[in-house]
Amino acid sequence: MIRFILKRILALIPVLLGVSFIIFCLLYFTPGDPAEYMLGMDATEENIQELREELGLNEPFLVQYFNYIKNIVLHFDFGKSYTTKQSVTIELLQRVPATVTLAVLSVAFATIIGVVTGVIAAVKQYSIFDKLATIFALTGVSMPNFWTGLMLIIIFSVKLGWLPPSGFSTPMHWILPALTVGMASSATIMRQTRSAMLEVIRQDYITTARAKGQKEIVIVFRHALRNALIPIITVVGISFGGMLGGAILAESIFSVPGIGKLMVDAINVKNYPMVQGGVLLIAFAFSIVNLLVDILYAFVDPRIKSQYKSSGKMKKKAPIVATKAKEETT
Amino acid sequence: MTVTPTAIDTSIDVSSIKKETLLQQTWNGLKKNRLAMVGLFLIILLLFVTIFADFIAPYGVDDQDLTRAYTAPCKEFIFGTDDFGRDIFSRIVYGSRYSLMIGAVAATLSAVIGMLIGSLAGFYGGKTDNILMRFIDIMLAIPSTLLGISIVAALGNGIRNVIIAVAIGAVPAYARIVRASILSVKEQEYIEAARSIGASDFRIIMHHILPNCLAPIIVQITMSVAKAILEASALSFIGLGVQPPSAEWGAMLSAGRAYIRKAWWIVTFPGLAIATLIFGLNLFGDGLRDALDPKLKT
Amino acid sequence: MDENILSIRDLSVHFIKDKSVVKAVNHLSLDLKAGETLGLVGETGAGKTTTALSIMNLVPNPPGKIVGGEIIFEGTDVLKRSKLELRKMRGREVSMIFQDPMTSLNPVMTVGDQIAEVVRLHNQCSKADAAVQAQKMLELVGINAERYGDYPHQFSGGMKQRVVIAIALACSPKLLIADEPTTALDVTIQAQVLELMNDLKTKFNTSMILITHDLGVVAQVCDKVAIMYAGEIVETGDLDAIYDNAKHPYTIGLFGSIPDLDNDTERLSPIAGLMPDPTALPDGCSFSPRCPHCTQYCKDHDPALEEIDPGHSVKCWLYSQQREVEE
Repeated sequence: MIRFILKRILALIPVLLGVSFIIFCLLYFTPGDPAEYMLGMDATEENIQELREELGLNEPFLVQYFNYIKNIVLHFDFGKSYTTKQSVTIELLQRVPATVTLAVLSVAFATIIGVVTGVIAAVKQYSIFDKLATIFALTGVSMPNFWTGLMLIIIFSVKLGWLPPSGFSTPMHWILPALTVGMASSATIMRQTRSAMLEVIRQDYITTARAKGQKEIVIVFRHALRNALIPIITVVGISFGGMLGGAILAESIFSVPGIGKLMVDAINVKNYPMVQGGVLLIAFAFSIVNLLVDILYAFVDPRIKSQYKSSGKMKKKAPIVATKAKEETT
Repeated sequence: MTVTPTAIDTSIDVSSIKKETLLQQTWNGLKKNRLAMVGLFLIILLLFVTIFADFIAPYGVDDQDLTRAYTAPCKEFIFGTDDFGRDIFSRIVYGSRYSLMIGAVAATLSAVIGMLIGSLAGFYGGKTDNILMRFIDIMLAIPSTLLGISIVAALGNGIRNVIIAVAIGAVPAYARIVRASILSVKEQEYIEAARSIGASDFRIIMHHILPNCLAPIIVQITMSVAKAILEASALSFIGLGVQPPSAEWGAMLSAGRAYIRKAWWIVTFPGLAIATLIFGLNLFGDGLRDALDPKLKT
Repeated sequence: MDENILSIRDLSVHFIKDKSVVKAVNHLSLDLKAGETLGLVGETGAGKTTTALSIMNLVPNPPGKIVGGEIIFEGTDVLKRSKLELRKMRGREVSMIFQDPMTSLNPVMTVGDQIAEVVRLHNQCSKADAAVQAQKMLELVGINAERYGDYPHQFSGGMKQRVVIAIALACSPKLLIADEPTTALDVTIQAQVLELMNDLKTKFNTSMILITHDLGVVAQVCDKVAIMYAGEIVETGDLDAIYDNAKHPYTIGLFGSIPDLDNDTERLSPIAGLMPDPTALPDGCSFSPRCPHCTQYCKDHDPALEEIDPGHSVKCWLYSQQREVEE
């Protein structure tokens, strides 16, 4: 099991390197001179060249990339912000708590609402609850999250005055942003829960459980839901990516002092090291979450645990082999 | 008792029979699904609005009238006016063109690229598969909104770059579908049989493998269009991609943010338009999936 | 009359799918004495499993509905019992072994816990006591008690079925319904499982209904036989009566379609035709389309199950004493 985890962590490294390479390339080939940006309009040609040397911008591409990676891995240094000239790393780290809070709250909200609604809809299939839940799910998935955020502000801040429209300092401030980010995902999770539960409830072992004389509610939760967890966890993992994207937008709308807002602001002023660092950090976090989801599978489903334990070897797919036998027959 | 082989009747074109029945079957299945029909109706409505924009919109897309700025929805201006006194309804009508174009082009682009990658990976297996799938994994490690942001930030604004950014984000889904389809079919005997009668790789892919993954691909395309439109409008909202004064719906939302208190309708209706269109696409996509699924279970 | 532990009278079960009604069980009647083993024989689709599920009132609803009849178990009608009474009955007084051991066990629970679950449901005991009982049951069915904490996927098909048997017998039920318990298993394993069931049956003096389509299995294990066709019992009697003295054309046809070690035959003689569509059963006798002795009277009138010899009943106009004179 530990071996499996280590293998997966090792497998992460090329992926993260690949991500960093792509991001680095993207921003390397963006038109514009970084040194010019940093020094501003009044810089002289001399100053610019000086800065270019200092930042190593005249080195060949691969050297620059290598240095970039080296700095990140050894010193956790993502470079300097064009606008503030401060370390990108420090600015990013300052913003992490807010984003993490938002992400955790959104996931919690989406998962709890999604799973509970999905279970009820499946157990009471075709009832009014089920139909309403499905419609809610369909609309939830269709509304762009930035629009949802704005609508929530209009309803709850402007018209009703119940909740604050921006900032992140108190729990009251957390509600609208978390709702905004979690809403679309809760709809997706609800649909997946419902379909997974419906399939599980049809299985023979559920009839076995009823034949034992077990109570229906215990059957739903201990027997059915536990078996439906795999697809549910999968969809939560996938939704997380969407929620990260949503968080970036929500932070802009609600002025949450998180990484997302930092990045959006940085984009608008072409502060590329900040954008680079932010993307890398988020991609890294996302990969870790995916790894955790995979590990979670093992704890939920003993069959998968066995697979992880026995061998970490990937089965090779056999290529098509032209059969000589066919040629030999008539 | 001996069995005499009957002569093969070559006058019937088998492939055309099969296709006809499949399309009709799917259509029949769809017709029964009321929600899917609603979705289809909404999509056709959008197409209609886009094509006949000039006839439907009461005002021009840039007709400003500063004296009528911030007018609430009324008979004259169904959805009200914005900060420049432009009719929001007309702008939404014209803005539909952006959504349509971005959705259609991006979805097609990502489908073609994704299917190509998936086919190569699935069919040739081994190293090709490994490399291509690593590449797909890398793309999947970045949440799609973030990927889109990075690409547009690098390439610059404008509708062309938005389409590229959004298309790239959707490629992995297609690649995986096609690859999985190929892998499931590759080992089966009728592929060996086709090879043994001398079918080339290309022919095998086109005639035997691709038809199998047709159903999930079609569903995925519908969903991609929706996703593309959502992402494009999100990018506009942040300040990337299509910008004001273009009447792209996301851009309209972005511009209207400042006036939430004064004129809530500026952000409400463009967003409603997006939501309605996506809703229609989702309904239709779901209906397609239900109609195609039982018939074409790979 | 009331040495009968189970008495099914005139049971009818319908399944409603979209617009069509599947008549799975039609006016079925059946008796079982305490300690007896009844073999319920029939082809796939005859309604055997539905009958079995009805005894525990477990027919999935929707789409199934018990539309008539009564099932008297130990004096009271199962179909009229409350939910609580039913739950008490299931697993404790009546147990069921299902057909496919591969899917009958919960994949995410240990086998030990699954047995312990039924123990705890019907006995006021602690978790530890239930676990001990579960271990005893495992040993009883020939599985090492140390495997309590293993999961179903770690067992072979035959061993999974033993676990299912352990669950079914854990609370010493009075009636055990075994729905094709060996169909999904290899022949060698089949023999072992049947032997196990026989032993346990004798040990606990359990009455059993064994559902199967395999006449060989019936011969090994059963005291009585009931032949089922299109949702009805067409013939029932002691083992000898049915095997040596079958009356109903369908029963005769069944025996005729089995390969016989003793006699040399060129071809098997299967019964021509297929079972009728349960949404469109024929008027009159349901076997009439396939019966070599069918008459017009048979096509128009549905016979009733009548006792022709002590303990031997047939549902066929050929043997009926109560044929009405046609007008």
